Amino acid sequence: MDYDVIVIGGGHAGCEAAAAAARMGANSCLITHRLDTIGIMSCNPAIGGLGKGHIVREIDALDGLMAKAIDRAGIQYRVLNRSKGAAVQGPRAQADRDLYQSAIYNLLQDQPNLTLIEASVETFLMSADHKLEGVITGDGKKINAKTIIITTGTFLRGMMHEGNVSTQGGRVDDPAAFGLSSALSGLSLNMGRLKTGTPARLDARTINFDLLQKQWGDDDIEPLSFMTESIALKQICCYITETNEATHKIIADNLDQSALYAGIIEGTGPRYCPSIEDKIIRFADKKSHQVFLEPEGLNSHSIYPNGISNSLPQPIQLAFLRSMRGLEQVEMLKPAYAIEYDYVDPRCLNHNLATKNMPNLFLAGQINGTTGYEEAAGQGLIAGINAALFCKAEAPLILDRATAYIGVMIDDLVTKGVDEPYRMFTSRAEYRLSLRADNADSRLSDIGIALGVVGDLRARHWAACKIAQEDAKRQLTEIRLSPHEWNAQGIKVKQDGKMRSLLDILAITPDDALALLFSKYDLLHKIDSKIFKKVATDSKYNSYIDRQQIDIEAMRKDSQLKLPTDLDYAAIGALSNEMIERLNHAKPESIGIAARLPGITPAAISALYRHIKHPTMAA
Amino acid sequence: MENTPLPSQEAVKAGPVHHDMIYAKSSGAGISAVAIIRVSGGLVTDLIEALTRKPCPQPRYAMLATFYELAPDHSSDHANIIDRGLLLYFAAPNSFTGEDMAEFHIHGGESCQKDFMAELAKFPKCRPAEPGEFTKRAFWNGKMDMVRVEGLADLIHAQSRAQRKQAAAQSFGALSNQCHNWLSMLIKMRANMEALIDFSDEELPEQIETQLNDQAGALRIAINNSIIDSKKAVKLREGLKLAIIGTPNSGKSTLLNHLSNEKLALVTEHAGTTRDLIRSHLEIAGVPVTIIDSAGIRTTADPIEQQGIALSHDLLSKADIAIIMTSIAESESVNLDLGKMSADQHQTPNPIRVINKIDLNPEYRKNDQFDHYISLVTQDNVDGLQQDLESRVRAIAHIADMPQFSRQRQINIIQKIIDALDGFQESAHDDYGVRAEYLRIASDLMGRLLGRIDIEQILDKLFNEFCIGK
Repeated sequence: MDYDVIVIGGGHAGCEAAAAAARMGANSCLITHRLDTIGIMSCNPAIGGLGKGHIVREIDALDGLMAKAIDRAGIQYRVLNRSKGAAVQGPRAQADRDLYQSAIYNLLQDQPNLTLIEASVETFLMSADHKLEGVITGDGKKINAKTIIITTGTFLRGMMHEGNVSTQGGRVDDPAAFGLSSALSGLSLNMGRLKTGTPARLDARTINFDLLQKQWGDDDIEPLSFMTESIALKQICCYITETNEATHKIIADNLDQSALYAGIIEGTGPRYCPSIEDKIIRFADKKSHQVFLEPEGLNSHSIYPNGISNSLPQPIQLAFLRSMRGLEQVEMLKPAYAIEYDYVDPRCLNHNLATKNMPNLFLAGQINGTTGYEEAAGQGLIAGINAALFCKAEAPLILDRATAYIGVMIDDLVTKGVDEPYRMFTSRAEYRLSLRADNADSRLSDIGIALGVVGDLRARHWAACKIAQEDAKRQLTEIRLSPHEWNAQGIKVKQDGKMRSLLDILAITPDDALALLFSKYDLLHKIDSKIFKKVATDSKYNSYIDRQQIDIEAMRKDSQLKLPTDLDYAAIGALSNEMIERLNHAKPESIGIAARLPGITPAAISALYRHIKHPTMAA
Repeated sequence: MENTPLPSQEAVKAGPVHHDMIYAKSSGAGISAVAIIRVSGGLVTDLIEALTRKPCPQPRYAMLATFYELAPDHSSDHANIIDRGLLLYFAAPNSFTGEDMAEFHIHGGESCQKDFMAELAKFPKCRPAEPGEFTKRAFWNGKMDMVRVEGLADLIHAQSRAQRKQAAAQSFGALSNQCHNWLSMLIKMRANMEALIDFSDEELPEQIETQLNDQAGALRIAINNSIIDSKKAVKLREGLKLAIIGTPNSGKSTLLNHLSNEKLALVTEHAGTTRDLIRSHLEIAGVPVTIIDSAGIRTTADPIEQQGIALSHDLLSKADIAIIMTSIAESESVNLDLGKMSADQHQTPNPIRVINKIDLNPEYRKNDQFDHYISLVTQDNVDGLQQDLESRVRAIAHIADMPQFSRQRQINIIQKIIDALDGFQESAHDDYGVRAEYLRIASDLMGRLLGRIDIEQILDKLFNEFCIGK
């Protein structure tokens, strides 16, 4: 056997998968058709955001690459929703594209147990009894492995569209993976087709920035990684321009030349990240759309115009760009294009991201119908850990919906499937108040340490952080005063005779009113500011989280109620044909999963409960 | 832009359920001119064709048909006839249960009914329905939500006019429709809240947050209105208890007989005739009232009578209204005791003090100690007592036109929804996560009210309340 784990694909999913498997001690290799594109940011030059920032923190808590890499490449940091409460805040950073890529490459190179191979994968090595044993590369080399993780993103039968020009490929200048696509079809996985798009890249030297509004990052930088103390790089600003009626007219007049609208593209695009054609047609009453101009690096002339992806011919693209303020003279470095690609119906997967057909074949990232670097990386991490666990014949790591956004995402994918590229939103998480970006380490690091996927350095860092938090909590609890005493200090408290600790007071004190407490209590100055923030935020949400705990326990109990995979739902009775068909198709592993299947009614779930509790009783 | 659905994502066709066929008589018990037998599920059309030896009629059209025995022997049709009657076929999903159903209107004689149902039992996979099973299937097939199911249960059990009106509002719409409206409002509010969280403000209409606050306020008022009179609604659903209590031989049983127009209690001239509690049900002002007559209260050596008196004391504390009776023939001292007893010891919420046998001493009414001075013999002032009773019943159990929740389960959930909406309004407006959590709680609860969540125990309890076949 050559390897324990082969990862095919060097994107965000592949890199996390390979690194995680290697950290777990599995002898791993990453095969990509071009080593110099490992970790490339194919679309926007930013990591994090709402929902996504949460995933990045979770990856970091399990010692993954993404947060570490962005903190070596971050040139503008902003916490989104800063004024809307800690539970819904998403940290985000703008990246220097080249620095990010080299950070990822260096992290992989420094990773023991990991080999990087430049090759294309043509097909799978199958044993006589149809078991997956490895891959055959483009130059005919056979590589054996116990497990294979496919993370080929948009490269499966990738087709790029720019006006009526369609080119095969997974990304500009990169060939599509057709061999692998047909090899996958041979594994009887359900395939579908999706589309996504990317805007043009603009030449900064041809933009009149003086006319544009500037957008700076936060003064008080919050790094993405829990381990990062400070950001060394110079910070830059982004610029804001907007479309206008002239822009809209140019696009509307040329819709027939758009690949999207001329009917050339068949795949479904994301509703929440619409192309500019979509925005103008669907929101016709809106006269203007904001466009963020994001520099792609400290030493780069390339500007990423966020919000105007399209599939129009180049001359039309240039014309509508030049109708916007500041872009009157603009030149494109690369045109916008839409890309269509194959994806695998993620309902073919188990919660450990292995295919139901082949327990040693794992899929992660855009191939599963998701979009976004962070979503891909989160799946890669879990696939890498589970491939390594599979090699050791150990139980898989399944993060549930109450533990991590990554768990929410994977559960959504494998139970509900996708009908548009899946993107993380905070609203997808029922237990949002407990799944915060600030407490990902509390939720996951101990799990990671137990698994062995967290390295010594982070394990020590987390241990110290835990002690400091406990310490701070203890000190803040020791100061206890009556309502009368608090009010005497100018802190308004209900006169209910209840003693309240300083920690209790922090829970009900808005951020902008903290100054008074700081002026009264020296202790608050002595606690490390990061630790203070964590403890205060925890305290703020604790009462809500306690309430949610009942729901969470009910949910966990339901996932313990296993349904046999060979259960014939038609035989249960009391289920309508629609329910029988959906359940027979999905074969849910537990009542908990069945309850989350689309279209399954509560009545059907009670019938399943009854069947499990009294299998012999007629309905 | 064409969506290319995966094969598994194609809409799955809804259809009838092919498990057991169930049947039950759905008209009342006993012998009647016409009896209605309902059948649901399975191969109803085959059953119809086998029974009538004719093709199944169009759905929802009545057909006059002869019903034959199912025996394969076709030689002498006449000999095998069970009955002749009307037949209606309902095709799934447009039926009460959502399954294929048939209604057979046959003659209501004992033997007709018995033979017909015996014939049904011979049909493959056809069995008598369990209590509430038709409604259970309707619920499972998404034909009814919990509010409607509960309303139907009450409707079937409704004894009085006002009760029936209240149950019908729940069963046929008003309340259930209201809940669905509230649920869709909550879902819309949640969507707006989530939009505020997951999308940047520039992409959203400016008014969205103000609108949200206004909607939450309006919704709270509307929802609160549905339980504002719920105490009365519960009373109406459960019915009232009227205790008749008082000194021995003061005429309690005569009053009971008068109110119920039946000779329920044995009336003699000897004190101490009534030793058991006698219950009688009647309708006062549209509300069902259970009247409990009891042994008179006096000091007695008879141990059996003593027990009866103890029961009377207990009764007073549980009754919604108590008629405390004495009569002119009794001594002044007993009257005074009676007043003391009701006020101090039992705190009857709604006492009506009555003195009977006023015909024996018409001058007595100058004393102001009693609410009513009556004579059950001459019917003097009995109307006045009856009117007083009616107005008190109305005050306790009569509700305005607004549909009200009438089950404790419903009221508890509604109260929690109101708490969640208050939480939404009162929590820090700059913590969107917390505000969204309150909306989530409210909409989950509304879903629970309509029977979407953890309903199993309620279901069992509730379906047991149903008569077979209803």
